[in-house]
Amino acid sequence: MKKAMKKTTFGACVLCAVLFLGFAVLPATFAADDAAPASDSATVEPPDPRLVARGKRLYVFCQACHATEEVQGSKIGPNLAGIFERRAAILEDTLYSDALKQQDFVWDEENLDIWLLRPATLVPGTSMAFAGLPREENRAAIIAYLKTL
Amino acid sequence: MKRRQVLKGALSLSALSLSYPLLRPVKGLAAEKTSVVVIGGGLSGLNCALLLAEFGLDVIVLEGSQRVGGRAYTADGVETRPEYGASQIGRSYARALDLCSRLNLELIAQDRFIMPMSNCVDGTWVRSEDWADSPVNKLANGEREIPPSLVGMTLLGRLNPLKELDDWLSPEFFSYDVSMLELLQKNGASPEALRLAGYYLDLRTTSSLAIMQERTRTVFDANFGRSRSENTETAFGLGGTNEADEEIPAIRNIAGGTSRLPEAMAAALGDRVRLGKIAAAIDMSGSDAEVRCLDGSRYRADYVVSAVPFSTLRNISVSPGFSGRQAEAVLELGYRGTTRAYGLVEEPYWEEDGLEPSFWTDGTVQTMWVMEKRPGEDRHRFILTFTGMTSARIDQLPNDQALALIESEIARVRPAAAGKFRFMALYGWRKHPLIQGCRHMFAPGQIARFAREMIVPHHRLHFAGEHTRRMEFGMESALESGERAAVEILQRA
Repeated sequence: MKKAMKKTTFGACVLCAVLFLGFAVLPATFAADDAAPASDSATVEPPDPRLVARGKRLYVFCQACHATEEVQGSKIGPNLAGIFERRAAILEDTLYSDALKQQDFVWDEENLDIWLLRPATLVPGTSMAFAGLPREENRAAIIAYLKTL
Repeated sequence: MKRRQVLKGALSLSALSLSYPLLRPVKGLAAEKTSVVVIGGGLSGLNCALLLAEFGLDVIVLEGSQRVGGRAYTADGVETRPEYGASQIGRSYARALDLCSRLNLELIAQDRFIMPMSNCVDGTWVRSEDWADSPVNKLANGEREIPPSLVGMTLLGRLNPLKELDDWLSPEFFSYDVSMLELLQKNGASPEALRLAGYYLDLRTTSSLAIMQERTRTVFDANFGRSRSENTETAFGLGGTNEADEEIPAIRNIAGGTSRLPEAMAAALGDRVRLGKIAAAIDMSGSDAEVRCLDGSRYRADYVVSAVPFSTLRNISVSPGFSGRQAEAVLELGYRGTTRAYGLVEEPYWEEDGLEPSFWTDGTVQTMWVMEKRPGEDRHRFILTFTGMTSARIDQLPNDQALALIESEIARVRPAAAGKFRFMALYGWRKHPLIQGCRHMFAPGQIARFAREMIVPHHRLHFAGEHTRRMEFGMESALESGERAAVEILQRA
């Protein structure tokens, strides 16, 4: 248990540093002229930096439970590095609800959109306590940000 | 000094001030400018301010008292350091856990095991194991096995239709937004059940739906990360069922006391937190907002967060004023007083009368919890909890008289205990002039009437505080609300 705690503390410290240092320079980082990284697939649209920046602000709702860097491991919710198009409930270090463990879907745009509107609609009995984002553009912004993780 | 000289001195000072504006005393004159003013330095306001500061916004927190933390309040000066307010951190309290981790606060398994509880009903004592079959037990079939101290919550729990944490805000369940008395009566609770429940629950003035939300949240926490469901019945707060075989205890506390959390949050905010600043007015009639404090200081901001209870906000002059259902909510949302006395047992009086150490009575002394000794303790601690009318009976008196009354009541109902315990502290939240209660409580009909409308931003004013929670309970609900207000502002800023 001690070991696990240490890991969480370390992860949280990294996140903490990211939060305190990273967010202050966020507008510059996501300025319109800061071109998106080259995509290796012509069919994938480059993320809209404004939408991503907005999603990052909305991610305040998520950050207490979900770390975003793989090295941080999972907090009380799963680590979200690489969450887009990942299969539901597959991380080993995460306490998923029984309800989610029984699911067999992929976190694509459609599922994320329903989930972020109200998790219990997609998976009744979920253990994610999230009030939901009623506005479609806010869900789109978070999804755009999640795609960058 | 002659009067003329004094006048002259005063005149020259003011002349100097006029020609050198920088030397003018700031107090009461120039307003300090910032992006966001947060009124209230409890957990909700501090969390809101921290999140906004992380995004580079200028924030000032105005706290009316001389201490941050609000209803997170560890009595550091008292022997055994009791918690006057919140202390329990559940396994699914994500924000509290994350903050503790980030602020390097250690969490410890809650070490508060309540010893078995005898009951004194109508002047007759019954041990817990004899209760179900006791002639004193006038409960109906199906109720008889419930300890008297849990009758109300247990019966209500059986009727709870809520599944998800946000169900309580759905009109589908508004038929439950009636008094506990009405709902229990309608569902066949016996008169004796209502009588016993009425000793510690405000049956007539509390919405059943509000209690059910809390119960749903408590069950959610108990089941979090577990594959089985638990019996979590408890009269006050989360159940104390830490199990030895589990990796993460069900309930944890902050090492050194709950106050360490708001203190660490305030330390991270530095001089952005101002103590002793009681907000008197929020003026949003101009192109931005101005908050005026009773000491004459003024703060201009783009946005203001009310992170004080509505029992306090309703005394602040807000312009433009609230309207419609939001105005109703600010004015009428109910608050509850809880009063607790803390002490030490000097001699185990239960060895004398053969009853169990803890007890519940249907008189002024409602609940006396005697705790198992913690490692290194030579005596048992106890906590007496007073709610409803009995807390009013205690709160009307100065502390010394109140404790004398409680002592004589205990000696009257349980003579063996007379002179065998000692009080350390008494605290009644209703008496806190800036809070006026330990928590909000929706009255029957108020959830349907304004629970959703009450948190909608009003011009440049946003709302935080445990009374504006959506999904959470306890400390976590305060943090949840501050987070929501921060995101609202980040969307606008």
